Amino acid sequence: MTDLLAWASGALFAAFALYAASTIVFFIAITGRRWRGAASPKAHTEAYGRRGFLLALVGWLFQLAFVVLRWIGSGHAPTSNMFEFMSFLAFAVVLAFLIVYRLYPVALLGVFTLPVAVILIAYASVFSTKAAPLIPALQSYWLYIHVTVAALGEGAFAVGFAAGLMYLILAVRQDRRSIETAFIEVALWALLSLVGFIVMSFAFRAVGHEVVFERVINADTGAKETTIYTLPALIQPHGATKVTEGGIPPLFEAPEWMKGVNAGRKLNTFVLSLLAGTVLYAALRVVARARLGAKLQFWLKDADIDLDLVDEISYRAIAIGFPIFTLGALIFAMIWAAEAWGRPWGWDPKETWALITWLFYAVYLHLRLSIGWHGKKSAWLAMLGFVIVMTNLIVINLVLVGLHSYA
Amino acid sequence: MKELRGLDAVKCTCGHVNPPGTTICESCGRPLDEGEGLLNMRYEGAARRSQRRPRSIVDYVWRFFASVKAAVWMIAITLIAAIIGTLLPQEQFKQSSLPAEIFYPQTYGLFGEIYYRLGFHNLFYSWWFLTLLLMIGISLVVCSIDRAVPLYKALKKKRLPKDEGFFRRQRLFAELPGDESAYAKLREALKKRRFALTEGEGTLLAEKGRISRFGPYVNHIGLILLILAFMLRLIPGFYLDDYVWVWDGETRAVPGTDYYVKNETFTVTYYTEDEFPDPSVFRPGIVKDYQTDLVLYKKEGQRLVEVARGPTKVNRPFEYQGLYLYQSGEQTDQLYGLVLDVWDKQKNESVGRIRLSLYDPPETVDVGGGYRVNVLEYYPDLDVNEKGEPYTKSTTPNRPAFILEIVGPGVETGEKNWVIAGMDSDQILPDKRFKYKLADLDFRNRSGLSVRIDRGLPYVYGASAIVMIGLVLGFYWQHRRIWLRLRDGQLLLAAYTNKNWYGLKRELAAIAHSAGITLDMESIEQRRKNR
Ligand code: HEM
Repeated sequence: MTDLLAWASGALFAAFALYAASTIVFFIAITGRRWRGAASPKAHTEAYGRRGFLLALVGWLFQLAFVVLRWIGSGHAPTSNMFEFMSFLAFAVVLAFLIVYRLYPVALLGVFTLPVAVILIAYASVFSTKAAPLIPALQSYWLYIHVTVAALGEGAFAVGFAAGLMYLILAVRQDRRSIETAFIEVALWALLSLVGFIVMSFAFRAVGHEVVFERVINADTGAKETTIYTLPALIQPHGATKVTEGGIPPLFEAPEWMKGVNAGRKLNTFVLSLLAGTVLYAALRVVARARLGAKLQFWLKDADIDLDLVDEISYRAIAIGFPIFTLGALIFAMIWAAEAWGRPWGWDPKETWALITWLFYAVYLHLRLSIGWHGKKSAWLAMLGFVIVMTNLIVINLVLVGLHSYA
Repeated sequence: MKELRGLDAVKCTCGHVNPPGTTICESCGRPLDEGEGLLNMRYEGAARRSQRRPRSIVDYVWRFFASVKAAVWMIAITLIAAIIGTLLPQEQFKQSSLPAEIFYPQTYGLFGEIYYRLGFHNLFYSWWFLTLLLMIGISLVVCSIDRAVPLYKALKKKRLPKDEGFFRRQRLFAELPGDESAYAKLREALKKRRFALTEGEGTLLAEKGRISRFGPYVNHIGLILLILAFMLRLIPGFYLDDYVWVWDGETRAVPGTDYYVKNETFTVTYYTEDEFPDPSVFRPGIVKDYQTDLVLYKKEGQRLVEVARGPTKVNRPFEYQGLYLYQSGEQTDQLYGLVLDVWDKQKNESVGRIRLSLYDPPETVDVGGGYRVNVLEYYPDLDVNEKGEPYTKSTTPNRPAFILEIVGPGVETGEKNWVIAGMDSDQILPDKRFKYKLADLDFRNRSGLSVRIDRGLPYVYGASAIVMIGLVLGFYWQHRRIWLRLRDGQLLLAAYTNKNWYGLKRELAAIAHSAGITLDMESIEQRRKNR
């Protein structure tokens, strides 16, 4: 058992490294067009695009090995906690990328999609990677089917998101400041915050940082709840006292209504991540001496690709994902809920957000197919859609209490 | 998008008379407007009811519900309302015994107050949310009828346009020098790719994946059926949602039905260390399973007749003829009853032991030795009112008290006594012959069962299957049409799809290539504005 799990971790690491390598190769496929004198730009992009694709494919096979080994080793589908789910989502994103790339061999798509997978795996690894057996509520084949299929749909939405971002970076005029350029900067800042969170988590874990808080949860019995922070404590849990000696005292206290499991710590993590994102963003901006969007546009101009094509890729990825998402996140979810709780639908926050996501993409598709929203409008919606997906996966789990908050 | 709206039939130069509102001649394909832009091929330029000038209130209502814009607004409002509905816990999840009008302001302040007043605390069952869903339903019906019929008619009539304008005003268009043999080669290449070919009037139509166009309608019909399937639960007897707690060994009426359920045993199993995939994270006390072994009875006259037995577990409900019992709650080692020693003070010996449930006390118990104890009164939560009379404050056994009567040798007329938890019965009434000593406490497990009947469920699944079929048809098939016409040594080539133009361009280039013709993928796309 433990052997298999160790092999699984190895395979995941290999996949992670290959995805990172693939990102770089795709990047070279675009930016190297000029400085490589020999081949024609088109041939250069094609050749490196093929290599990038191959790396991504091999990485995906490694991750497939991870999924299989982990499944056998832990005795259940690897979608039962935040680590397993987020890495599975990365798996889904790469699968969707491989499929879409077969339809539209555009190297630039790799530059935008593979980092999503890299970030997701890194994010997943921040959570506990230990395999634990399932609590009774999660012991169901329908659950595996529901979660994996929903994740596959979400993977396709992620590709739609990446292509949407790519479209906007290429299409929005960067020679003057506008609301659109501001939103692009916000999106990049949000991504950098995620990166900041991952970097901080690993850094503080490496030095073994820990702050412990205690709070009385039952005045009669005096029962206490302890919360351990592994990141610096800026915001303490509501009504808690610091137990760990020394260090800097927390500056704020979490508001009372944040009731979720470890709400204070989650809020702290969230705020710290935004701060880290801000620092990263500011640093890059100082180095680039331009809006990051403008800098990216400048680099990617060389890609010389048809914007309509990018627009279609973003739509196509979403169109591929929509039926899968419907099946996984709504229909299989209903079947499982009927099996587990005796009702196909119960307006639990997570369920409601799956419906919200679905309705949102339905709006996107109608606006596009029936009202004729294309180009930038469509790309903004594709991005917003994935924000809703991630809201459901991260915020709802971390902030709200519900039947699904297992992480 | 401006559309042609007219009351009059449109006569084309070819002589065909088209219904009002038509934009492309049904017969020869000649554009019926004077523009230069790309043709709007949606619904093949056919007339739709919603585009006729409205004349009556019905027409206005129809036009509203047939509008995708209105539908998008409705969906968007529903979506935003649902987001607001998850900001605070809904009433059903609030996990507090406070009534909603106190809970929300008290827990969330002014925001909670407003939230409650606007009815967001019970959003998903509020009349206005349900009205929204219903309006979307109506919109689905109207939209589908409005478009599906004309679309079906238009697609069924395979269009073989003769008019050059039809070709020139398509988004994908090419004019190539060519002759009969080039035409034949292209025809062959199309056939090889399994396009359905129709020829006539000197025009070739190659078509593929037409079924895809009906995908949205199948999907929408599925959605309508889904809404209806959920509405089935409004029919009495179709839906039941209740809950019952049953102690180990106890039999209880299943609420809302004429069944009774007995909990034979309720068991909790825990993971052992070797069941942990990674022993380093093993902790004792992690639940592996909750299970109730139960027996289902039906009441016939005064008797309970067993109809089924079996286990119910989390994720594996017990089912009997559409009645489902779900394992959904557990209380372990709760105080269930008292074990009393019935003590004869005269003989200074014990007569026997009795067990009294605090939840469902028996009317009479056999003690042995010819004695029986009758339970005359039971006060789960004893208190005394101003007049000095005992009463019970609640049904929860906080301070349980019994009035018991013992009948047997020496006490043929019966002797009454009080038993109050926590008090020695000898002290309350010292003159009695018998006293009741607490010998033991009876701790038991209690299993919580959700009781469900949902006869609409198969219909929900059926409708979902239709939705899926529609989505798959709509998204994984693609409708493509290619028209080819040879005229004066020129090949006119036009193509139309409703989505994924890049794919079609690529396909066209590949087809041309296999016919020995070079077709530049980029140059065949016309970027004129859609009118
Ligand atoms: C939440 C509910 C809805 C969902 C999930 C949904 C889903 C879809 C999807 C996926 C498509 C695109 C299919 C394709 O072109 O391949 C579509 C198209 C369409 N939908 Fe809906 N729809 C919904 C509600 C509505 C409503 C209420 C209306 C009524 C106004 C409507 C009218 C249309 C129309 C007119 C099309 C375009 C059909 C065509 O271009 O041939 N939809 N719908």
